[in-house]
Parts: sequence; structure tokens; C-alpha cells
Amino acid sequence: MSEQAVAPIFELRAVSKRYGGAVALENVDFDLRSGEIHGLIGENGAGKSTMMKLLSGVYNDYSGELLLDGEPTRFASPADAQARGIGMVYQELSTFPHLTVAENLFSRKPPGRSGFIDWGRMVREARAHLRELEMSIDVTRRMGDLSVGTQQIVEIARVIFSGARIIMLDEPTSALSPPETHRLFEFIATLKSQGKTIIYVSHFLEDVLEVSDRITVLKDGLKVTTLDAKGATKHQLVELMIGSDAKILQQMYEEETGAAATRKQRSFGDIALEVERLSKPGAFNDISFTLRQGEILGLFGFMGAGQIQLARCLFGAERPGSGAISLNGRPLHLKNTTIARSAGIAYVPENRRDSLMLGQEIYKNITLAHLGTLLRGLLNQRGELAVARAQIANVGVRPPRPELPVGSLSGGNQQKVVLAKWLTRQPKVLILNEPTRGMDVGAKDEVMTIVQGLREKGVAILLITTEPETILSVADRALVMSKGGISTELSGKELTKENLMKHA
Amino acid sequence: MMSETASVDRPTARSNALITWARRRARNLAPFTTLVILIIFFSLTTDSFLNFVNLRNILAQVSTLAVVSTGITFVLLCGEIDLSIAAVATMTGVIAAVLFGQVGLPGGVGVLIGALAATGLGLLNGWGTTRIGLPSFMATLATQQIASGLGQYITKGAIVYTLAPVLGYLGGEYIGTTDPFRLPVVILCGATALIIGHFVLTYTKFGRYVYMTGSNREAARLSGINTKRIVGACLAISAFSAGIAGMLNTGRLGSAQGYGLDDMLLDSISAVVLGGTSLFGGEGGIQNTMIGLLIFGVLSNGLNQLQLDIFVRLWVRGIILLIALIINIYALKLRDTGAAE
Repeated sequence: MSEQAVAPIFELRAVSKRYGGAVALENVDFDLRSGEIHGLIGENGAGKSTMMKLLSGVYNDYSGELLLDGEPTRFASPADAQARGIGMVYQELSTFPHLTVAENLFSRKPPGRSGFIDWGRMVREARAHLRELEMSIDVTRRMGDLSVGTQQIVEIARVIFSGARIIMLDEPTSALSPPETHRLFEFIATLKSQGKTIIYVSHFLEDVLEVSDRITVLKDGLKVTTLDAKGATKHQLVELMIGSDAKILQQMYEEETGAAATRKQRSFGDIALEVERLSKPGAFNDISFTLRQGEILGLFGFMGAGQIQLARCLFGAERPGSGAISLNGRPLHLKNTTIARSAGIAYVPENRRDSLMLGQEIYKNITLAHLGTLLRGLLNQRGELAVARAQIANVGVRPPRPELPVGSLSGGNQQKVVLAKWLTRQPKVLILNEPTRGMDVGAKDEVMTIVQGLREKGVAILLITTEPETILSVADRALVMSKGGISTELSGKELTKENLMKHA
Repeated sequence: MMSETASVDRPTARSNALITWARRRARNLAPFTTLVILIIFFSLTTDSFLNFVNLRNILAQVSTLAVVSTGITFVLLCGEIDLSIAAVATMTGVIAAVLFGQVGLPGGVGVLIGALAATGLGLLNGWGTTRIGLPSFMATLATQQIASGLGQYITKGAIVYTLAPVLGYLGGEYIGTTDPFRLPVVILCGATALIIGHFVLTYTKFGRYVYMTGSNREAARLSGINTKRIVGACLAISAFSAGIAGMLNTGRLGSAQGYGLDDMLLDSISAVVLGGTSLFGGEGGIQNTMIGLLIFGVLSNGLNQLQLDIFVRLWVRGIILLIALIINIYALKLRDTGAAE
């Protein structure tokens, strides 16, 4: 079988990129052959998104060389990269849901002259282009009415019409159902047969194995290797991603934190939260689990698996389609968040913006959740400040000045304020959604210590995260969620990083 | 050497602290400064402005506006808007007058029913905004039509002169007998509304929830606050205060008619925003509304004293309003960049 042209069409040589002091990429070599589908995998923080941003022209301050068609070059901007044939399709599609498919396809450059749009031509050309790609989609339909999978295909088509011959797909299947994933793969095969080159970035290793010709593995900013997809196994990929000495690291973890030992010895209280066959169409399906007092249950899954919607349903911020939730044996009808809060459920969202009033003072943010019961009668500033100071000391907010606007704090400290808000009254159930996102190691440690302290007090804790280490360091057992369902439950010796990632 | 540098540093340190203090309070200081500038300006350019009776008149002139502005402050603080207040005020004045004059109910009962009718429309606004999900702009626009139509339907274009005595007293009478030391009762009404509003917003949990709902609706909801109820309550409050203001106004004018208070909507929003309350919610308060009302009153009155042509007065007032708002926004930008440092 004859090989493709030897010279790669896109190449990185000895590329390094730093953010301030942190290393994102270190001395990375990467080559892309014309007409191949190249998978790119790695853990959170391995450098995948930095590399994609580099390849698509978002960053141009890096050391090393970038070569396009064998010519060393540097993109001045994303627009420059696009003009030279690089197309990027992000996980969150950048489509215009209120416009039609045809308008979306031509959103950057509508056909027409002197400022007027030729609508007829737009529809005709849109139809012709999609037919070339062997896709039959009604171009006069509103984009927002189409399924996510179809929207994504339109978005990829748009990128191709703009002249892209190298297309980068970022987590394309995290929101797709199996049949939609299958359709996407067929589409990708069509593109390949038409000579397009694709970089496929994903956490879903089976998909990467199925669709790629070659796979590059990144770890901690370094390139581990590039291997042929044919003959590779998922197990092999996981080991490459987290290191072949992962088992040794695992043991070190457990010795240091004593997690393994205490995991076996800990006894839990009564069932605090019971979830039975909870479903929300389009988000998650048939979720059942129990959570006991004094237990930390980890919920691991990649973005888009449905964990966030599940958490919001457990707090009354969204309504499930069917199923039951009960707290301490009593069924709960969570019509709104006020009911959930009064019942003793606390919710720390993943996005600080959804949880803090940045313009208001710290003490006002801290007292907000339980204002009704913290202070009897009228508000008085001294009482509030006292409550706030106690919590600031409890969670370690720095600087410890309750009158400052919360927006003036660093991200990690803001997150602590969010936690403090819910600790003004000990909750029965605490739902944590990515509690340590964006925090440095020291702050992470502080927060996890507080969480463990709450466990000692008998609080039932649901810890949702995309970082396996967080689960491994504190969770008693873990559920893995994948594409809206629970794929497995892990405890004891089986609770390893490898298993977490395998079942996601 | 050391003491030299120390004495050079201390004045700059003090002035830095002053600047930071001023920056943080820009939302309150800028409008206050505008007020002072206007007072000085009119005092210098006219003879008739700076005297006790005139200043007392200014307060009386903005008193009914103060009542309705208190209500609209709640709505703006929680991040919504109420376009129906002027129409509700008009309608309520008419209802109270007709119930007293034509239906023959006691004056107090007429007033009570009027207030209930106004609050009812406010609850309708709340229902449309929170249960149906209409933007408050749309819901209150519709209610404005309803209230305006009802007001004109009840009076059929006629002017009603039969007012409940209590309204005549509160709106038109004075405490004390000798000029210039007579106090128009309406000033007390306006002041009462402002004081109650300020108290609720600053010292009650409901008031705190209003601020938080306006500051970040989703975060408030995710903190367990029933934001729907808060918004509904604020819309009811603004309609209620509009009703009271409408009835007071009939007392002041001595008559009720089915139209004519249309200025009240924009005047009250102008007053609130001039005072520094944010149109987007979460920041400001009654203390800002009070300064805004004074700016508004001084401006209107001052322009009258200048004896400008009546039509000139209107657009000049608009320009000065625009300048004052621009100054306010700049002051806030300064504050925000100061906080970021």
C-alpha cells in the first residue's frame, strides 16, 4: 500500500508555551499528514487545549516552530489561520440558533453585491455544498430547531466552506447520542475521502480509536508518543495518558493520605439522600443511588455527561422529568430552590458567577443563604459581620475583611466564600460541583480539608468533579456517569484513576 | 533622610486614602455634587430661587413624585421595570374620587379600595412577569393600557371634583398657619414614603433579597431565594405606591381626571436614576432616590425661576438631565477602575 506524501502538511517543532510561570507545553513535536484523521488525547491540563489554540492561531507567543505545508510560519490571529485553511469547531458550537441553516453556513460571508444579500443564491449554494458532503439537511430550517448532532455537522460544513482543509474538532461527541455519533463518524469518513485532514480531540477513547489513523498522547505539557490507532487498545492509551507508573503513584497517594485504610474503616450513618430512577429527557436517564450521612460520594464524568443537570435537579434549580428524590426517608418535591434549602440541601455550583454577587460585600454574600434563620427580626450589620467573620475564619478567606466586595478576592478565595455561604447552617446534604476548579494546590487542600471535616460531622456529601485526583483523595466510593447514565460504581481497591477514566 | 521621605509620603498617603474613599462612594457623591452645583447655579443666576418659601415649594412639588419613586426604586433594584405606574396613579385617583362622589362611599373606604385596585394591577404585573415569563417591560406596558383605559372609561373624559376630604388634607393642606412657616402636609407624606422604603430596603431581609435578586438573579435563586416572589412583591409595591401618589395628587390639584399624569413615569425614573441607582439592578437605594428627587425638583424649579420661555424650559431640562447622567456614569467608571487597582 502506498504511503501518503511524506512531508506533513502541518507541523510543530520543539514548541513550548508558558502562562506566567506555569508550563503549558514543553518542547512538543507534532506532525499532521495530509488526509489523515489524527486523534489527540490527554488528561485535563495535559496541554490539549493550549495546543489547539496554538494551531488555530489564538496564541502566537510561543517558542519553537510551526510549519504549514512545510513552510515555517506564525499565525497573526485566528482570522489569519482561518484564511490559510485551518478550521476550528469548538465543543460549545458557535452557531446562530435563530437563523436558518443557509444563513449559518454563510454567516461570515453572505453571497451578494454591494451590501445586499442574494438570498436565492445563498439557499442554492448552501444546498449544493451540503450535497457535495453527502449530507441532506433542509437549509431553510432554523438552526436552533435541529438536533445538536445536526447543528454540529452544519458547523463543520461551514468551516469547510470557508476554505478549511485542516479541521480541528474539540470534544465533538460529548453531547451526542450513539446514532448521532455514528452519523458524525460517517461524515468524517466522507471528509477524509474528499481529502480533508482532521484533528480529533476527545476524552472518549473508544471513539478516538475508532475514527483515528494515528493518535498523539499528551501528558503534563509533554508529548508522550504518537502511535498508530490500528492495534492500540484503550488500556494502552490510558496508561500512556496517566503514566505507566500510575499504580505506584496510586499507592503513594494512599499511603500519604491513609485514604485506603480509612476508607475501609469508616462507618456511615443512615441514608440521607435517596434518588430513584431520576430522569430528565435530553440530560440524564434512570439515575438511582443512595447517599449516607458522613459519606463522600464522588460523581465522576466528562463534561456533558449530565452531572450538572442532575445536581441542579437535586437542588430544585431544574425539574426532572420523572423519578423520586427523598431526604431522610421523606419524599421531596423540589419545586424550587427555596424548598431544597429549607430541607437542608446545599448546592455549590461549578461557576462562581452563578453563586456570588460580585459587586456586594463578602459578608452579605456569606449570610445570604440562611439569612432568615441566622438573624432574628431586622438585619443588623454587627450580627452579620460576626457570622461572616466566623465563616471567614472557618474556611480561610484571605484577606479576612468581610466589608470588601467579593469581586476583589482571588478566584480561589471567592470559591471559599461560596462554600462559607452554605456552612452558616450545617447542611444535611452538600452537593459540590467542581469545588476546587481554578484553585492552586494550597487552596485546594484547604477546601478538601473542610469537606472532610464536614464528613466527620455527619454531612452527606456528593462531590461532582472532572478531576479524578479529587475523588481519589477524599471519596469513600464513586459513581461514574457517562452520556446521561451511571456506567459503574467503584469502591475499595477498584477506585482507581484508571477505572474512573475507563468507564467515563 | 528618613524623616524627609516620611513627611513627603504622608500627604500623598492621606490624599490617596481620600481618593479611594471618594471613589467607593462615587455612586452617592456624584449626584450629591450635581445637586450642590445646581443649587449654587440657580442661586447665583436668579433672585427668587434661594429663599425659604421657594425651597419649601420645591419639596412640595416633588412630594407625590417621591411616593411613586419609592415604589419604582424597589422595582429597579430587583432588576425589572414598571411602565404602568403613571396610568395606575391616574386610574386610582379617579377610582377614589368616583367612589366618594358618585357612589357615595366614605372617603376613607374609597381610598382603601383605590389602593387595593392599584395593588391588584401590581399583582397582575407580577403574575405576568414571573408565572408567564413575560419581560416586565411587556407585562407592564399591557397593564399601562388597561389602567389608562379604565381611568378614561370611568370618567368618560370628564373631570371629577369630588375628592375625599382626607386626600384634600394630605395633598393640599398645611400644618401651621403663618407663612413662611407653614408646612405642606404633602411633604410629610413624601418623606414618610421615603423613610418606610429606606427602612425596608436597608433593615429587612426582604430588602436584602431585593438587592440580591437584582444583583445576580441566578445566584440569588441558587442561594435558595424565591426570586419570583421577590419580583412579584416589588411590582405590587410600585403599583401600590403609584396608587397612593395618584390619590395624593388629586388632593393637591383638587380634581381627578382620566389622563394627564403621563409625565410621572419618566419623571420618577429620571429622579431615581439621577440619584445614582443603577437601571440594571442591585445597586442604589432610597438615599439615592432622595438626592435624585431633589436634583429633579431644583432643576425644574430653577428653570422656572430663570423665566425662560416655557418651551425652552422643556428641552433645556432634557439636556441638563443628560449631562447629569453622563457625569454619574463617569463617576461610576472611575469607581470601578479604582476598585480594580
